[in-house]
Order: sequence, then C-alpha cells, then structure tokens
Amino acid sequence: MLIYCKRMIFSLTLCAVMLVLVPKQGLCHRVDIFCWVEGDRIKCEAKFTPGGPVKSGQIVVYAQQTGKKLLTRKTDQEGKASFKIPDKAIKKQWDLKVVCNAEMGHKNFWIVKADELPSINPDSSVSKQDSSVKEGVTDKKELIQIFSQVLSKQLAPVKRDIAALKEKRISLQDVFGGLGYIFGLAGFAFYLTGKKNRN
Amino acid sequence: MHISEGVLAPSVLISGAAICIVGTAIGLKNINQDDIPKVGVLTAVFFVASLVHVPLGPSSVHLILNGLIGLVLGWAAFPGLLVALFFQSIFFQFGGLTVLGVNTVNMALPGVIAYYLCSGMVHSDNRILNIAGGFIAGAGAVAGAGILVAVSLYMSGQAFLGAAKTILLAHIPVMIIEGLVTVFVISFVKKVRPEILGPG
Repeated sequence: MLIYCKRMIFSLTLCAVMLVLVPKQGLCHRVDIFCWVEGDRIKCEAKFTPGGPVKSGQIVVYAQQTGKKLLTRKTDQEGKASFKIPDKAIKKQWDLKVVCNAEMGHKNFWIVKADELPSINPDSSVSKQDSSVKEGVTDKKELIQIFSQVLSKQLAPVKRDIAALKEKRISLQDVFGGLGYIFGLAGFAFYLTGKKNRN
Repeated sequence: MHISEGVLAPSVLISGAAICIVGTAIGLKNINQDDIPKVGVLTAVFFVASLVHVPLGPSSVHLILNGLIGLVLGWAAFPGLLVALFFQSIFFQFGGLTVLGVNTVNMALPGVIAYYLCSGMVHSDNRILNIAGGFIAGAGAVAGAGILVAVSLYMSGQAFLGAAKTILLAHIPVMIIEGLVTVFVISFVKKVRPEILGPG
C-alpha cells in the first residue's frame, strides 16, 4: 500500500512538473470558422483555436437545403475570405453552410441562416449619381437603400464580434474535468483489478 | 494531428475503429494492478500535453508524447490514448467521435512500434544507447503518427505525398523537442524509479 502511495505521489509530481512547463497561452488546435453578413457580401474568418489564422485554407459554400456546392474561395494570409451572396440563395431563402478545410485533416463549418441574408440585395452602384432624381425629392426606395448601406457598415464590427463570441473556448474547467474523469477511471480500474485479485 | 469529423471516408473510419479495438483489447489484457497508476498518469499527461502548442508557419503544431507513452506503457498505450482522445473530443472538440478509432491508431501504433524498437536500447546499461533509444522513440513516434495521418487522408482521396510532406515538415520542430523530452524523462525515471519502465 505504501509503495503504491509513493509511486502515486512521484507520478503526480512528474505530471505537475510537466503542467508547469505548459506555456500560459499554450493550447492545441481545432479549426474554427465564423461568418457574418456585410452589405451584399459574406465575410469569413478562419483560425486555429488558438494558434493563428488559417492561411490559404479552402472555403466551400453549400446551400444547406439542397446540399449543392455554390462557390469556393481561399483564405488570405490573415485567414479572411469574402464572397458576394449568390442571388439564388437570397431568392430561394437558402441557409448557407460555409465549410473550411484547413490542412492536415482539420475541418469545420459555420451556417449563415437565410434570415441573416439581406432581403433586398443592396446594389452598391445605386443611383446616387442618378441625374433623374431631383434635388430635395428623395425616392423612398433610395432612402431605404442608403440606410441599409450605412447600417450594414456600422453593424459589421458588431456582427463580427458576436460571431467571435459564439466561438467555443477551451476553459480550465474543461481541462480539470477531463483530468478528473481520467483519474476516476484509473481508480475504477484499480477497484476492478483489486476485485479480481481478491477472488 | 487530430483529424476532424467528416474528413475521412467511412471505410477508413471503420477499419481504424477495428484496429483500435484490437489494440485496446491487447493493451487491456496485459494491464495488471501495478500498471494502473502509470497508465492513468500518462493518459492525463497526454490529455494536457496536447494543449501545448508551438506556433509555426501556416499553422500550429502540438506536443504529442506518443513516443514516451508507447515506450513506458507498451500496448497499454492503446487504451490510454483512446481514453484521452475521447475526453479531448468531448471537452475540447479536438478530433471527433467517429474519427476516434483512426486518431487512436494513428497515435498509439507508432508508440507501440517505438516500444518494440527502442525498449531494448533504453533498458541497456550503455548511457549512449539510452539517449539514442529515447530520442529515436520520441522523434520517430511523431514521424510515424504523421505518416499514418497522411495514409488516412490518402485513403480518403487526398494526395499522399503532398499531405505527408506538409505534415512531416510542420512537425520537425516537434520531433526534435519530443525526442529531447523523451530522453530527459527516460533518464530521470531510470535513475529514480527504473521499475516504471517495466521488465527489460
């Protein structure tokens, strides 16, 4: 019994020493991608959690309802990519599944729901310079379009932050939870083998 | 080196799971009560050590320690790594549940191979052989895991050479670090508690 205790204490010390050597920011990786709507485009950011941006990762966009592949992109050196929302998706109110394939077998996706997509496709080349509109007489449709543009510009950083918040972070609770389960299982195994010995 | 869900073909997932079950059965058969503390602790060490990340180039790589685990545990590396990977997928979303079998085989099998190749060197009285054995086990197991990941991706349709080159190049620093870590841990353990390394 005493020998087991000594061994346990030694092994735990070894474990603790290794834990101390873990750099504070050191965490492993899965790929995370999040997307948000900005005007008539969808912007995406893909990164390893944590560990930096996914450079030259492959982005594939599918229509969630039909499974049809709509377009592909590559992320830049900051892990960002963007694409114009396909008109078909707006017309048919499709949810868009944006899949990121990073290298070495890492993959993840983000769903942009149909109700996040703009219902009117704001045309950025709208007639601000349209000479047929008289001064002081503003077309209601134009007003709406101008408002949408200004709003989407203001909201873009907010949407980006909300998307980032949805990201699942690794917490200390998770680490200790896992460790607890592992040691619990070891204890259970002790019990089982002890029972076998006694029988 | 955890492969995510939905990357591999179903046939690869099934064969990986089958090999994992065989390996785990062999591992569990050989465990006796004396071994349980070291299996538990090494499982915990792997669980946490995978969180150590080295930012590198286009991505980041992490410590794997499958060489050290294989060297110390032998076939018991299979059940240990299976448990650790299971909890990593639940708590951290690393890898996934359908890919659990494949991920376990990719990491445990090189560890077991390292055990068979290097355990003789580690148990000998020659200091140089000990160091060589430890380093080869540590570095070689990481390389082995990388190759197996590339094989899994290849069998699911990706180009093997390209994937293998990317993975191995990215993990060279990890191989060196792990080789060194294995050497240090093994020499320390040999001096203080040689019975942990098991029968020669």
